[in-house]
Amino acid sequence: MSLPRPSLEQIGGRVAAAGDRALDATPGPDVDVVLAGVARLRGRARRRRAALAGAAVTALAVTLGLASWRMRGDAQPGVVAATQPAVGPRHAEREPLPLDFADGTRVVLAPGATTDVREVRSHGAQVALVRGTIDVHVVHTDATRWDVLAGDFDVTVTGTRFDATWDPERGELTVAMKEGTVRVSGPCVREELSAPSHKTFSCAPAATVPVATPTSAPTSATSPSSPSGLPAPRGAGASPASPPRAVGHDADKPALVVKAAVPAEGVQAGESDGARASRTDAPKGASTLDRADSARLAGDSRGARALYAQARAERPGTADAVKAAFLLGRLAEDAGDVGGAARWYDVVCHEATTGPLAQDALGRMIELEQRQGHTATARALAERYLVAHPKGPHSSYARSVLDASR
Amino acid sequence: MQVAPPVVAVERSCADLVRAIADGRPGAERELITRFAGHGRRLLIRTLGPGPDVDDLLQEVFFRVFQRLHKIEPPDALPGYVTTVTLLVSREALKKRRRARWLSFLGGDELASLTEHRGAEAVPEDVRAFYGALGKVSAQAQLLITLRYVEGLRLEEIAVALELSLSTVKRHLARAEADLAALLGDDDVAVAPWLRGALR
Repeated sequence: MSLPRPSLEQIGGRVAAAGDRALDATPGPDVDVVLAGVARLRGRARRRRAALAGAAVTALAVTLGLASWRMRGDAQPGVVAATQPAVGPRHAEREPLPLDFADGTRVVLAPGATTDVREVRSHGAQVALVRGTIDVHVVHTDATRWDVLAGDFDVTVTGTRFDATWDPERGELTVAMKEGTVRVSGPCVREELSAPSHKTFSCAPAATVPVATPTSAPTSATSPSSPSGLPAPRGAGASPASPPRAVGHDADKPALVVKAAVPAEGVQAGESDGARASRTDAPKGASTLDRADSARLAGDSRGARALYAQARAERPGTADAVKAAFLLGRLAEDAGDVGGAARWYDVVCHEATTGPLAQDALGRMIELEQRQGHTATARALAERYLVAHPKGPHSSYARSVLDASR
Repeated sequence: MQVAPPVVAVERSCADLVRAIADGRPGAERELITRFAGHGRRLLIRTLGPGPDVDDLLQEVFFRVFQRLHKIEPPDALPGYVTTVTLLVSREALKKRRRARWLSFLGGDELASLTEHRGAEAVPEDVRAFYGALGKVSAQAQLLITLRYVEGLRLEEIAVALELSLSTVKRHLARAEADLAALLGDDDVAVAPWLRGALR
């Protein structure tokens, strides 16, 4: 039996149009959710591969690893070799702390410095400079690729020696070149620096907002609070949406500040006024959110909380701030801090009355209040949810909350 | 005082994006997902119908894309590669559904889960009916029919996306159409009346 093709084409067109309408009516894919899913699948794949490798291979790897570690003679405390778990935060208290890597690269933390080795690759690593000064000596090979991240800055290294100092409160990165060349990139800068030179970069507004002090409420990244237990609504005094102080110039526009610069031969030429104007269009705080996401997906909840708080401080009253609040709620929820999670979701609901995040946050608040035994609050939230989102994903649950309390 | 050269926000080319991910550049994977998530999701929904598993499958798509990114040659072929991986994931999902005897989009458990799915209210009845009927033919036939008639791809494009020869696509599509027509011509098979009427 032959099928009348035009009819099938008509049906296909009709289905496509209806499908597009359905797509338009549903929220688009959440990049964070996809990234988290990819990270989860990678972890699962790694575990599967590890299981397949078998005990014999594992034993061989451990033996070879131990032998390699001993041959390197770097067994003193605080030294990271390829045979040890290299990823993670490190802090130098009173003494310099050297981190040695298998390719011969050495990163020395000055006293008071904190780093977070986020990723170790076959030909390099990604080291986040959280605070303080590090002395970096990267051994060059054809494939070498190291990244030193400091705030929104990324210092790309292929083989060189330099000191990097990061002041998170002031948002200032200082790079002192000793050998070779690095590339510094950030929201307002992309520049190559060659030895010998010494330069300080800052893309932050003049009125830099203190790190991890988003606004008056919530006051901490881990436990938002207000006198009533819930953050004040938008417009009621100093809310989480309050903008930062603007001093000297437009606080919404990042400005490149070069301080104490000793221009070196490798420093590039200046920029025009037009170029400066175009640069100010770059979204501010997006990189902080990215780094927060990376920290969260890597399981560094503490770092993620600080960075989300920083993102909120950098871009108050924006969609990024709302997203950061939502993810702070998720982190609190994952950590079992039910009250803290509920308060962050309440921040989301106050700062964004519509949209998928507000919808999701409100639904989660019902669950959390119910879990805490706050039946009356849960019921009120359920009623509010059904009015705002009668067919939302939590609508069945909201109805069940109302039914149970009758 | 010397200042930095301007930084102008320009979208990276696909080749640059692939290289940036291979180099482990921060934010590069996010950029790829941001760029292709809409396309992938739409393609999954077109081939599978809207359902609660689409978001999970989208994660699977990008996991596989990142896993085999180094195999893309030339790197500018990234969009086509994402399409191919999406269709591969889609085909596996269709086979899984059949194995699980989820023979119809309107079928019991799946429909129940669909009602819990965000945006479920936006799925029109005729779309459900179409995918319900499609669920009764093979996974390959479903893919071919949706790509040809819903997505509106040319036969050459389908061949590239599914990594098949043009003649294989023609042969399989003809068989798929015949299977669907035979199925809908059988009065004992429950399908939406409007669909049967339209195809007769």
